[in-house]
Amino acid sequence: MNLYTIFFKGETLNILELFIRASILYFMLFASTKVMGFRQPGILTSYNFLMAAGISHIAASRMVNPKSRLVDAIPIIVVYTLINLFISYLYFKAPSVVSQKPIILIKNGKLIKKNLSKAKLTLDNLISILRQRNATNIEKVEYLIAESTGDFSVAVKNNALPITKIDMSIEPSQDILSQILIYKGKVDEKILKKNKLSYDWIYNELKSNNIDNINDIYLGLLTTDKKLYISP
Amino acid sequence: MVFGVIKDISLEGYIIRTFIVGIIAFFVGRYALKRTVAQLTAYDFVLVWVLGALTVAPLLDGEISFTYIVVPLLTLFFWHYIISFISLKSRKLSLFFNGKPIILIDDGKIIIKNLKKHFINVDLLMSELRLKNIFDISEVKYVILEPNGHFSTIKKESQRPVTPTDLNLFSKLVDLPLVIINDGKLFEENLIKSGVDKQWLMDNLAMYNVDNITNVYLATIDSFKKLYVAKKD
Repeated sequence: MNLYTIFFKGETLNILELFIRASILYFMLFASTKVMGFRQPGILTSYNFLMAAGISHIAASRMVNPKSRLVDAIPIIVVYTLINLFISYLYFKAPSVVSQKPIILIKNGKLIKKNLSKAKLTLDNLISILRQRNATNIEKVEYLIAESTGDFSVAVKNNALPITKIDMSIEPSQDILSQILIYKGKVDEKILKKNKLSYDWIYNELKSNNIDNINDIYLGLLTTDKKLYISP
Repeated sequence: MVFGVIKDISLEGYIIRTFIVGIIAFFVGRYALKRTVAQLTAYDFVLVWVLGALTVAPLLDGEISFTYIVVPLLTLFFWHYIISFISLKSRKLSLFFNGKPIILIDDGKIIIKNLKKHFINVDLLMSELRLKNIFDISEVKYVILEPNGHFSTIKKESQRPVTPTDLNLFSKLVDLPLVIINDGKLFEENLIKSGVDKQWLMDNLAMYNVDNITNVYLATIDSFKKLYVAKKD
């Protein structure tokens, strides 16, 4: 093993050296995605996509090519991440500068020709999008919007939507967010407190399920109607 | 002149390498990922992109031999496996590697702090809601940013569609119909599972003017012994 060729360029790399190079870069990339946050994997914009493709190529070529220097990859990845963060920040602060605006393609059942060519869509594309979004009847479409993320959102006319409980004046029970309360026998106290529940309540629920030891529970889920779903 | 470190690789060499890379890419894709790309969390995400870039590296430069890509590929699989294993063992580390879901709207209230932290502006939030068929933000009870970068939304109770329970209706149980004939071939075991015999099937097929099983393209049966038949023409 030669420390010099791991970090700088050499003629060849042996297996151990390749392993160390790949490991260092893997964890650097991991840290980079971690810093860039959740939106990265979702690839919400074409910009994210380019960033991901680029950074992975930079890293990959440093892993395999003995003539390239690992020390170069480290600052490249750091700077790349910082630029990405800066642009994400711009998306947040000044969206009009960096991101495209949503384009309205159909308004009140009428096509807007001008915007269709702006979004570079043919009529066939449009009809296909409507079919995929379950809006086969163009007359029933109130809005079709090309979002800046590249997806399309469709609003159908209200009388073509499913009946909601409020339309039928049904008084629904209030739901809470279903969350993991017990994970492998451990109780999440934050969730317990937030929903104003106590350990006594848990023990009562356990008793009604004939379980005496909380450690026997693999998963305890707080359901939307404030009951405990237990899976031993 | 395909393998090893080659200074001046010929066109034929590249073409043969392309075939080999194609095969490697197939196996990498086959074994790397059990989840679809849309379900990936941060550490998967790194893996997918780098795997792709690594696999094609021998096509970029004749001096990158196949041994140079195999070791990094295995290294990546190794670390990925280790992290997956740790994630299953410890919840804390799992939340670190995979990320925690983040509540953006809690009980109808926008959590501005979380929006800022993840660089999500109101325009983006609204457009994500529109993609979920929510055009009016007041209809939303919860919005959660999932670790794979997608948004999940839960509407307010009164805005949800009416369900049979609301009207005290009894509804048919959900069941998966079994395929009993596929392209003219009979599946006897599915016939037995649904508790009917071949005679019953032939009698019922007669109602569709079918006298031979080979004339049926697809037939399914549900738990109420209701048949669906699609004939060949």
